[in-house]
Amino acid sequence: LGYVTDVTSAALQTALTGQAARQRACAENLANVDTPGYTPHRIVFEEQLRAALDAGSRESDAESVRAVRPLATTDSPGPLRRDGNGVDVEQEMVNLSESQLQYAALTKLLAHKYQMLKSVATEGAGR
Amino acid sequence: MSLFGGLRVSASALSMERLRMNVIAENIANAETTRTAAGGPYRRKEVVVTQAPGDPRGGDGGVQAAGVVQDQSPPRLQYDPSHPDANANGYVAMPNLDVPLEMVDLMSATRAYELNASAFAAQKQSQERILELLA
Repeated sequence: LGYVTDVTSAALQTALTGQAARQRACAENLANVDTPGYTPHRIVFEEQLRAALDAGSRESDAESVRAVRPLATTDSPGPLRRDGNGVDVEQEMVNLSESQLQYAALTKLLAHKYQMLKSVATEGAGR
Repeated sequence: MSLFGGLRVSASALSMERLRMNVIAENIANAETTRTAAGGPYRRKEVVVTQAPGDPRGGDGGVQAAGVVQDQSPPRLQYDPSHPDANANGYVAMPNLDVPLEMVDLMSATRAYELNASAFAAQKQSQERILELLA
């Protein structure tokens, strides 16, 4: 069963979860664009994922790759406006678009991987 | 985190911005109202915006309107002795609002609405893509 639970699938899953969390965080920051005193938050997971992948590339590491969870941080440079709201609309829109493209790429890769497995499982007759 | 939680976050902002637009429209409509059921001129209304409490498991969150409050600043006095609501000195108490300022707030609410509609569309597109894996 190592073909389905291998490190590639685990990395794709972790990245998809992370990008989904990032899109949600962007949505939340944009929703609170007019909330006085609101501090925006960001999602970080790429560095932890990189570290988990660099630790080794054998099948046994799939678990540690899958265990990487997206973390919410607030690293804003402080309130930008008089009402104490730190949301930077342009930055949020850029992050959201970027995350959307990453998500699309990851979904394509995952679909491709599943297609390969299907092809193997049906001895090439599954297409 | 649910698959559609992010959509609800954007939807909460759409409802809230819609409420702001309605309240601003009411203010503009009543810019000249000198008589109300509560007595005195119309008072400007304002939406109090707060962050919606998020579920610790990563539930809805988003934004909510804590309520609609009246601006307690004093009415604007305008000299118009022929007005039926003029006082003994000929001054009429007018609503404590400024139409240009309301228009600016209306534009801000409209833009925020569009912004959240874009965020909604972006998330919806991502979710459609993941559902395509089932095909």
